[in-house]
Amino acid sequence: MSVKTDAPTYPFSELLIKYINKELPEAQSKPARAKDFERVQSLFSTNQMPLVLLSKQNAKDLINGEGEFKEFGSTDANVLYGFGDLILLIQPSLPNRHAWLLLNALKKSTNIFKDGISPEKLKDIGEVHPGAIMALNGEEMPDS
Amino acid sequence: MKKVILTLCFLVFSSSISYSDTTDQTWMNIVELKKTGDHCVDDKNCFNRYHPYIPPAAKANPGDIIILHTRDALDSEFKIDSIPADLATVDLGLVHPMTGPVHINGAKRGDAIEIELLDIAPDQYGYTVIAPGFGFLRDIFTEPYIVNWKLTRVGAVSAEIPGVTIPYEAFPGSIGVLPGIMEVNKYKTREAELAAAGGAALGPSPAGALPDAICGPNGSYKDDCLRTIPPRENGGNIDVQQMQIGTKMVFPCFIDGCGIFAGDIHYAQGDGEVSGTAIEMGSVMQIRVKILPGKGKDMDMPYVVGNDQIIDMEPTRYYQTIGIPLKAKGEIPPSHAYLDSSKFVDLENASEDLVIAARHALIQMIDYLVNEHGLTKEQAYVLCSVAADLRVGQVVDIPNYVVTAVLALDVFDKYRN
Repeated sequence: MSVKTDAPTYPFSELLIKYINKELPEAQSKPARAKDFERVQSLFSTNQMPLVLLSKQNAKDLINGEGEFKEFGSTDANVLYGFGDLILLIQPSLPNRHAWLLLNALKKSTNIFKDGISPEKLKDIGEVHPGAIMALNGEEMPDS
Repeated sequence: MKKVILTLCFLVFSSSISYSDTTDQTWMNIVELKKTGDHCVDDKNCFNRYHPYIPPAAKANPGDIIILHTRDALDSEFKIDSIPADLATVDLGLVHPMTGPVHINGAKRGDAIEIELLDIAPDQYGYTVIAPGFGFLRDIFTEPYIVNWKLTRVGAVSAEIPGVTIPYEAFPGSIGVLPGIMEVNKYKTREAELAAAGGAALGPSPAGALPDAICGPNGSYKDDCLRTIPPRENGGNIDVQQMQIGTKMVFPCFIDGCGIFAGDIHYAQGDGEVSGTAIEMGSVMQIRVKILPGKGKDMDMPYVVGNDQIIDMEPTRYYQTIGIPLKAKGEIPPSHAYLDSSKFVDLENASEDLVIAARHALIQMIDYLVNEHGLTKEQAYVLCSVAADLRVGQVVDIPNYVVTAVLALDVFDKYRN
């Protein structure tokens, strides 16, 4: 999911989805563009959208309930990957297996997304999803 | 002197013009429910669930002209440049925003109410969508798609389906009266039984429900507020395009005052509304009501009476496909999945089945539009949703009942002046 009011997120989310669907066709990812930050928070916090792409400051603000997200309070979200100033957040409730698969796919994308940032370097934004940590540590794919 | 006389004549003539103006001559007693705010949640004249305790937004007398400012079916934020990705974030809990309810003075439970449709003024923008998981061919069309229409009363045109103009044949997708407590319990029970059997029934859902105080997550009747998606004996989402301006719709009254409402106005729709949406729009509609004392007691369902409205909607040239209940071996359309029938799955020929026949006719029409008119499958499906009519041919020639799909070819600009 991207958001209309965070302009760079939608065009990049389309590229990202194309890449994910090539690497993980079973994921059947589809783009979704929310009209505003309120809808982003609502859909993400109620588990209706498992991933959200936001610019760095907005990603921090979503997690901490600040800035554009101040009136909604803090939101549970884990970091999955970064692309320059854009951060891909993931639902903490998403199974470790899914996060593991996604991270391994994104790790291989460095020739396509030159400014990819491993989540280890994004700990100032939020916690890294446990499934992503397993993938970073080279552990085997978890069962669930 | 001649100049003075001419000037005097002109002044007399001018003053007589102002006296002959008709604008100041009025006879209507108007009750108007305007929109406030951007969405239903901001609007005291709007609700999106059915329950008898939803308070009236206004009161009107029989014969009054009731003007309802209505919202689009999804209470959406779509704009003329919306894209399929916008569809994925629509909150389906907000479907369908209704304007009202209007309490009709003097109407009692057991009466019937006749609603005469006087006018519908369209917004400038409307949309048609293919929403994943929804629509008659939801097993085939799984990707989101949107067509943004520019509307005038002459026709609807879009950048997404160039070369096509859809004629203005507006009607209320949803119109009706509030159910009583007895009706709420009856509908809830039968729909719960259907859901338990795996049928497509939606129970009460408080998220996004309005009015919040009655139907919302902390509402006093949150488990009894009915969703607006299925039409029922109280009317609601009937989606029958013949309910055109000039027709009269009759509903049984289940509560004193009836609690009439309307919304989800369609600029145009084919019989079937196959993609799940018509040309959805906001509008300003005018209605007038009459009480039919005691006539509601024996009514099973609402009915419609009209004059030549159906004739006006008939095509002057058309293409018609013919469907019989044929399907692929192993195929189970979503409509039949709940039957869990091992007998059905292996059949190529279903027996006396109008749904399978309708699919057969519709898929042929989509193929025709793709092969003969160069549309994409998504464009063709949307065009069928807003302009093709599924019609029952016969229900006697066993096992192959016939449903046809009829498309007025005049929707293509190349066939019109």
